[in-house]
Order: sequence, then C-alpha cells, then structure tokens
Amino acid sequence: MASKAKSKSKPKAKKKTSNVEVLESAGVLVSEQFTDADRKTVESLSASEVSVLVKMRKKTGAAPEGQHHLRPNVFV
Amino acid sequence: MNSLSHSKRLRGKIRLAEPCLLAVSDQFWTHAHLGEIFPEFLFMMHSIIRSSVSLLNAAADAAQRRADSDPVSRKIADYYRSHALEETHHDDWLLDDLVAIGGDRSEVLARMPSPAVASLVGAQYYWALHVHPVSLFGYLAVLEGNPSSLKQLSGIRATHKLAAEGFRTMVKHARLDPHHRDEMFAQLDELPLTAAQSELIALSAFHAIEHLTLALDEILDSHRDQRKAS
Repeated sequence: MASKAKSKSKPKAKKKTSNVEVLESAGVLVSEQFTDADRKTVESLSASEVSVLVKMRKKTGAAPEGQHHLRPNVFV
Repeated sequence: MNSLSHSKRLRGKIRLAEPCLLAVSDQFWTHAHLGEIFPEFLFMMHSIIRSSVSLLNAAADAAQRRADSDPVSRKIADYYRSHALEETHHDDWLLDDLVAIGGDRSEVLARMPSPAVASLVGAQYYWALHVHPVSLFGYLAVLEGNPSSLKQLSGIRATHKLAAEGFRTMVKHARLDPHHRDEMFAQLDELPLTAAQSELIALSAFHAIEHLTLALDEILDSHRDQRKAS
C-alpha cells in the first residue's frame, strides 16, 4: 500500500509578541491608559529592559494606581 | 525612528518602573507613626548622599579616561565634576538635621548602612567604572528627577507635627533640585547616545528604583517588627 505522502504544511509563523503585550500580561502596565507616545516608548524598549521590568514587578508586587503620590525627592 | 528626546524616553521608562516606589513612599509619608520612623528616613538618606560626591567624581574620572576616544564621555566629565561641587557638604547638612532632632552624630556615622543602600550605590560604581560612566544618568534621573515641593514638605510636617529642623536639607533641596533636574535632563539630551548606552541608563534607573523601594520597605518592616515586639 502506498504510504500517504506527508503533508508538508508550513509551520505556522509564531506571532511576535509586542512589548506592550508582555508588560501588560506581567502586570507592569495598563495599556488602556496609554497615549501613542507611551506605546512608542514601550515598543522601543530592549529585551533586557523588558526583562528587568518584569522581574522587578514580580519582586515588588503590584502598586495601587491613581494615588496622589507623596514621594519627597531622594536627592543626591 | 523614535523622535522623542533622550530625557523624555528615559522618563517614560522610569514611569513604567516606579509605581512600586511611589506606593511604598505613600505608605511611608502617610504612616500613622511617621514621627517614629522619620529619623530612620534621614539616616537612609544620609547613607545615600554621603556617597554622592565621591560617586560623581569617580564617574567623572572614568569619563575623563575615555574622553579622547568617546564623545559621550567627553561631554559628561565636566558635568559630573560641576555637579559634584554642587553636592558638596549636603551630607553634612543632613547630618546636622539628624542631630537637631535628637540623633547622635558619632552614632550616625558609625552605624551600618542597609545592604539595600550599598547595592543601590555600589551598582553605580560598577557600571560607571566597568561599563560606561554615562550610566549614572539613570541614577540621577531617579534621585533628582522628581523633586518634592515646598508645599508637600510643609503639609507632611504640619500633619505629623514634625520639627522644622528635621526638614531643613529637604527644604533646601526642594528649592535646588528643580534646577538640578532641568540641567541634568538638558545635558542628557545633548549626548550622542548609542542604543546600548540608552539601555544602560535605563537599567541604572530601574535598579535605583528597586533598591530605594527596598530601603524604604526595610524602614517600614523594621518599625512593624518593633511594635509587634513591644
């Protein structure tokens, strides 16, 4: 019996994940609050910068949004 | 091509990383027993700024050594040196404030600083000496990039009935730092940075944010532990 020819379908190209998607899924940012300029800045981040931000978020946990922050400057 | 200036891009990156610092800072400044933990904050600040002049000068020296072959280093060496002069004796001012609210000068100087502070500052020496001295802009952008206002400081002092003597250096910096911030960002915008240098500056800023957060958290944790024990 003739063996069935293996179908040579092309492997699906893996969809490139954007920096915004990676950082949003890690809880670093909420893209709804973004302007186009913010998006542009985030997409220009390097892989190392994204990785450090994700690690920091894991270590330091979530921060409440929208507070009137009181941070006095830590001057050098 | 990204048309944003270096300083705007850096500030955008810092905004992504700093919610953790802002949250712990809010916890600190709205703390019910702020009067008890405020001297610890001054000690932490003193631990950091006692290194400022030597760190800036070390970065200036590193930049000077590369200046002949590196346009970025050529531009930053003088800036670091003049900023070191501007920061001279600010740690002494802070020490005076600590003493004025009841601290002991020799005990403050002998006390072991937090490892979080050592890591905060120590990493800057590493990057400046062994990678590229432009890294220090990330640290400076975090530490000087968001000056407190006189209104914030007087509000905190009034709400918690804290002595004015403890705030003298912070008040001086509320006046000085908007100028320092503008000067620093203007200097950054003039630099012909490579992509790798921009990345290094951002990593330096992220590290500073993380370790300032840890240092402030340590103060809050230590106070919590003391109250549990008493």
